[in-house]
Amino acid sequence: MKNWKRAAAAAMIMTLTAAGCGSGAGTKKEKETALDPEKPVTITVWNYYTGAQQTAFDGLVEEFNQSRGKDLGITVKASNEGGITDLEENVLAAAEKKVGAKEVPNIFAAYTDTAYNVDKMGIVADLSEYFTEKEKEEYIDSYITEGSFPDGESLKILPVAKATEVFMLNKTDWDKFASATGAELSDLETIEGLTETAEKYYEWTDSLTEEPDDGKAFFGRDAMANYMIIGAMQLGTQIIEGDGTGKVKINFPEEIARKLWDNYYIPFINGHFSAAGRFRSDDIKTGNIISFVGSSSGATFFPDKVILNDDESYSIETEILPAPQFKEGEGYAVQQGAGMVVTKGSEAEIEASVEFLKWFTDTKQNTYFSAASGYLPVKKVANDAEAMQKETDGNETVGKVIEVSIETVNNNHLYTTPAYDNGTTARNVLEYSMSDKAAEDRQAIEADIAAGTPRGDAIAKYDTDENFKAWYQSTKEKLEQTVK
Amino acid sequence: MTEKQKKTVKKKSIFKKILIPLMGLLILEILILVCSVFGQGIITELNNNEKAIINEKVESRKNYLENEMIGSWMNLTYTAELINDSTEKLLKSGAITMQTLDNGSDYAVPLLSEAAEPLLAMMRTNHVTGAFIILNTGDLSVDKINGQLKDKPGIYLRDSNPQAQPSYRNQDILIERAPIALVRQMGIATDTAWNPKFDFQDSGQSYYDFLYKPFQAAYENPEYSMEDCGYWSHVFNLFGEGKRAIAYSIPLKLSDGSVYGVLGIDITQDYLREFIPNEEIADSGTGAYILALEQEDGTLSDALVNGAAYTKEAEEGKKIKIDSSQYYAYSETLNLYNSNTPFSDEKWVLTGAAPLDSIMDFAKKVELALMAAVTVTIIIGLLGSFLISYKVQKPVSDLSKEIREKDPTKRIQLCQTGIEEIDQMTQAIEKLSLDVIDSGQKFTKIIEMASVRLAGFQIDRAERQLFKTENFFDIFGCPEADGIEMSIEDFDAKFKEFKHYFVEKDELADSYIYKIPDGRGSRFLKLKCRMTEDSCYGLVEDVTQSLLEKKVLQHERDHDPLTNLFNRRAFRREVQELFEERQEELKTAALIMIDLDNLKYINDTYGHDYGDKYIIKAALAFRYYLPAGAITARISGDEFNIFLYGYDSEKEIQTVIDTMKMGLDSMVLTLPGDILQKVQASGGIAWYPKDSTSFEVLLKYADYAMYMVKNSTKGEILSFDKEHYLSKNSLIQNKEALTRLIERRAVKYAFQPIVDARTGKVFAYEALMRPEMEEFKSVLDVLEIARYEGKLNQIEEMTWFEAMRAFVGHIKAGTIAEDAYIFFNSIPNQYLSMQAERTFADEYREYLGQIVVELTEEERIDREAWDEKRTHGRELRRKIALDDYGSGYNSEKMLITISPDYIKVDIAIVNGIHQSSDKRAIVEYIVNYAHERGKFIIAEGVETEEETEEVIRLGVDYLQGYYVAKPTFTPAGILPQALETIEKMKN
Repeated sequence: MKNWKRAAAAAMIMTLTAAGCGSGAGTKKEKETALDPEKPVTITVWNYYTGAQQTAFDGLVEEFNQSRGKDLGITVKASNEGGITDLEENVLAAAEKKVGAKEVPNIFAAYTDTAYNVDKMGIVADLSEYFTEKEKEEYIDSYITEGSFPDGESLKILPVAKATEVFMLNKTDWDKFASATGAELSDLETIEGLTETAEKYYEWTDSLTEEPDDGKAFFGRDAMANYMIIGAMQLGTQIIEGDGTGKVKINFPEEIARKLWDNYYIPFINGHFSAAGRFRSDDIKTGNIISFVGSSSGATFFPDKVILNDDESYSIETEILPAPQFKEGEGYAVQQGAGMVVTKGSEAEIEASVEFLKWFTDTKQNTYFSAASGYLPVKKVANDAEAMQKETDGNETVGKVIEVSIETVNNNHLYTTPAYDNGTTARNVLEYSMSDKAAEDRQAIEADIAAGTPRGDAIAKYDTDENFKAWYQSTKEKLEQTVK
Repeated sequence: MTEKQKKTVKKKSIFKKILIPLMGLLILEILILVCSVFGQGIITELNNNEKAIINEKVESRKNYLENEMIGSWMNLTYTAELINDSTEKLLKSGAITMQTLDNGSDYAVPLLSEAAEPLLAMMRTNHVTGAFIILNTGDLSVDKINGQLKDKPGIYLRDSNPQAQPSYRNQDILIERAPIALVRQMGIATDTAWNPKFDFQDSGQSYYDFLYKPFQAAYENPEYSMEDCGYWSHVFNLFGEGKRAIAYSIPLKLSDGSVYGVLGIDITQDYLREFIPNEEIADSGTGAYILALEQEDGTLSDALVNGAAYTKEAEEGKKIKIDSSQYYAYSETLNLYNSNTPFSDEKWVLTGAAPLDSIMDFAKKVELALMAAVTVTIIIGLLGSFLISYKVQKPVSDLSKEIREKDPTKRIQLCQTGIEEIDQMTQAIEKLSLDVIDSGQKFTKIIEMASVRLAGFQIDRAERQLFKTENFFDIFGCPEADGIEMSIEDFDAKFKEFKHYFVEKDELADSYIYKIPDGRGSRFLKLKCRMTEDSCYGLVEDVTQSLLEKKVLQHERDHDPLTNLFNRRAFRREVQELFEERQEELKTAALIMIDLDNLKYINDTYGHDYGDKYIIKAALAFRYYLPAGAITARISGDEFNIFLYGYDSEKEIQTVIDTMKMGLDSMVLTLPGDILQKVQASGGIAWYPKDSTSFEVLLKYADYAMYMVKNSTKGEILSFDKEHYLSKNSLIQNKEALTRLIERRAVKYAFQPIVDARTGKVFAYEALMRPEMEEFKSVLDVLEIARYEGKLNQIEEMTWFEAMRAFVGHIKAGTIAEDAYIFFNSIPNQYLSMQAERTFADEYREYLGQIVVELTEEERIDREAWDEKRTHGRELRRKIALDDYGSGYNSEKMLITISPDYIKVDIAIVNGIHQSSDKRAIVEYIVNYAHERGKFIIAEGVETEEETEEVIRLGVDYLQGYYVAKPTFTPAGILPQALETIEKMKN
């Protein structure tokens, strides 16, 4: 009798010891995880990727779900929520629980401003505790800093794919122009050079036909805000100047504004610059322009042929150059590309989100995604042009974009505006105030010309100090409104 | 329980008794469990349920999808009408013409730019991934036949995520096809595969189904409405773009019936997948939803798949045939077309395919859980049963062992088991033990109280236990041994010490007599043992007292009190034993019969005291001068028998006899007056084996020899002379004749009346035996031979039965009066066996009171035989008559000894009585003697009138004789002469 009791006691002790050992081993191993493969977590990711980027992203999501996600019990569902602006609106609508809005996603892609706004609603998770210092150090410093708001300690945006601006050129048509006019690619290193070259190109194309004033535009810009902000930076002015605590002030000196004006508005109304389609790559495609400054992430959209109409089209070669900078300015390049923001949720959801993002930004995946999309990897080790080239898989354009992007990143100060309450509004002011006015005025000029006004007169009507000042004042006011 | 029953009842340990039924129960439970699950087809049922669940899911999913398609995606008519309005307007204004409309983008742009807005709106509203409009006005089948396809103007838009909030700036939309003018106008980004027109001419792409089919349907069948010609295209990739999609399109048809293009939407595979989530079919995406066209042969073409299964086949455009050995598939048909419309025979189905594994997963889990439960149950059951059995068995077996090891003679105290019933039993055993000890003590006390000392023991060999009464060895004179603990071996050893006290074994009673010396004398112990298979019980009894008493009694029985020699009975017993059982010891032997001479004289002269002394003297001589082995007995008054045996020759015996004779002769009795009387005896010797080997015959011969001496010289002891014996007793040779006589009952009885001396009436008849064989002249011859042949007893028996038979015969014949008495002669020293007596009494019950037995004087009366006869006779109301009174040598003694009812005066007295005063005095005396004592006198042999008168005068009561009546075989009455005499005497 006694024996079996002893046996039972021994069995019990063994069980307890085993359990103890198990939990002991567990605490030694790592932080307790809320993840359980038996209880899979589904996390939603809202992004703005389209086309090839979307394909690449969805492919990686699928890969994650089948590999590490499966192991950890994580299922990622990615969905495109329109462009970056639509995405922001949708996130805010979800966060504000507007009628018809969806549930707040676990992860959404956002620029600093959006993230800042959403963070103020208290739904953004601080990821700093999920990353060791060593892990953080693996990322390019400025990318991490961008997401460390409002105090510089926390981590609200995890960089996943960054972009900067490059200059893309339809080399086929350029070569014709260059050989005819002696224009050189080096002319395109400065904004001033670009403006001159664009004028030259207009004149050269105008000369190709009998028809007067039918010159073609040379250049376009995708992101006017970048032009304004980075341009100002190069010229020594930080339009939106933050103090590190979320408070900003607006610096918008007239001479800076004037320089920006002269190098965009003036060539635009002259027809040297243009913006017809949604993106400047569309304008290249339709033969509207032959060069533009756009995000490196747009590399995949850069066309390989120009389609003039139903019957006329021709293939083109592409040249990628660093974005032109103001002649006397400092070397600044834009740092863009949204990061990923993780919203507050259950511990498992946050962990799952972090796991996905860590995996996604891990060198292999990140390099692949960058190569497929024209984005830049976010880790220091991944920013290796040679390694990236291998991943581009023969897509020459993308390869070139990455090469130039890395060069840009390496040779310039990267800049992005500090986040603040009305950062988005300010950005929109900068994005549209000049471009919209330019587009509007160019339309009016064209109408005037069509109505018989000589081209010079029609342009002169708008190329005035008054016009500039009116715009300047209005824009300045709008900007300053955002900080009041 | 008998031994046999014990064997048939199989004994099992408690452990097994509990364990086996528990096991049985366990197995039964599990069988019931397993049978109830498998037997009832629960597993199949579960699988069927799983299938039914899938069926339901597919059905509801199909309904949902159908709703989505019909209710949302296929809503094209409104937009078509809007576009038709624009078209009509533009046609009217001349901006477009039907003839040039599809010639190129430039011709189509006016209409397309009008249509772009509604198209975009439709794409948003219908939540579809694509929307398109293709313009065409001619018969497409002609181009196909000619093999000259033409480019077609139109717009094709794609929305990357129709479910997301629409982008205000249409940033979520890409243009796939649209003229350049429209690209600029719409402000929508172009996709990489953008083309201003639908390129069929150079691309090698044939007319898309979504263009060709509905257009031709409307073109060829003017009676159909736009909706009637609505068509869900097969799976396609837009040229230059990789997304698999299906499209729904309707023809654009003006009110005048002219068809100028198609309007449609598309649904990409990626987007469709959101509507057919395969997770609901099977966990972890192993199942698949397939939207496809079902072919006649049941295969699926144009499949859009969500799920790993069959994706590859679908992507490669292969037809799918569901492998039923791996998948369970269920299809629901989507009702997308109205009946009798051009495409109503296209059968879109939604198929849910689940791996059989996943369907059976639950059942398998149930099965596994069940198996696990069964296994665990078995293990727990086994362990539990084992533990329970062990737990119950252990205290019981411990207790059992404890009890076995306990000394049952000591008070038993047992451990508690903790099992109530068993502890109760334990207490009962403890109490029983106390009771046993108590009763053991009681028993010892009772034994101590017995009048004789008793002791007992029991050896249990099986249990190796010894039980003995407290003072067991005390009875053996070793009280010190009682204080020592003894094993069986000790006991045996101690017991063996008493071996030399063992004196005899009584085989019959299985007992042993020990003679234990005890101070002054000895004590006798009787040990009785009883053995059973594995036990030995013994009782020791102090038999000293009873043994002594028995010996005295035996001595008294066997010895003559006067001489202390054996009596006749003991002698016969002892010698007969030698003859019958120890014949080998006899060797040469001699039977000597001795009769003391002169005893009658001494008795008569000096009284019986001196007679006795005389006898004692003789006995002393025998004692002194005969060797120890001689058997000596006093047979009757003056008669002694001596048996000498175990000698090698007659000579040795003769020497012994001579010594004894000399010793006898030397004996002298001093009689009163200092007269010295020498002891003198006559004797006969019969030799064994020379004369006979029969004891009886030797007796006869010795007797004969003795009588020879007695009748001649006296005072001598002579051997039997056979020659003389034979010559003198020729009749003896007729012994065979005697045997025949007895066998045949060859005798007849004559009846002589005995009449009343006062009335002359016949009072009785004497039955007289008449042998009917030549060899025998008279009854005396018969008796003589019978005596020598030792067959007197048979003669006696014959007499009784035959006389009585004849008598009864006569009564029945009327020749003898019913109340008459019968007299017949009996031999005094013979008597009937008990058996014969009983038979006689039964046979003649009613006549027993009429029997008078006459005892003759011829034989010497045997006291014992007489006593016997007398006792029986009294019981049977038998009367005795003394025959031949006055003729023998012992008449008075006989008279006293037998006390007869009738005295028959001998013929010698009656004959000539009237002339002899002596004879008259004797008769006078005996008549007085008899009448004073209520006895009757019969005068025998009355032959003359004078004798008759005289005896009547003397007062005799009855008369018998020739004068009265002669014996005749037919009984006769009294003779007239006698009657006259009696009459005369009366007067």
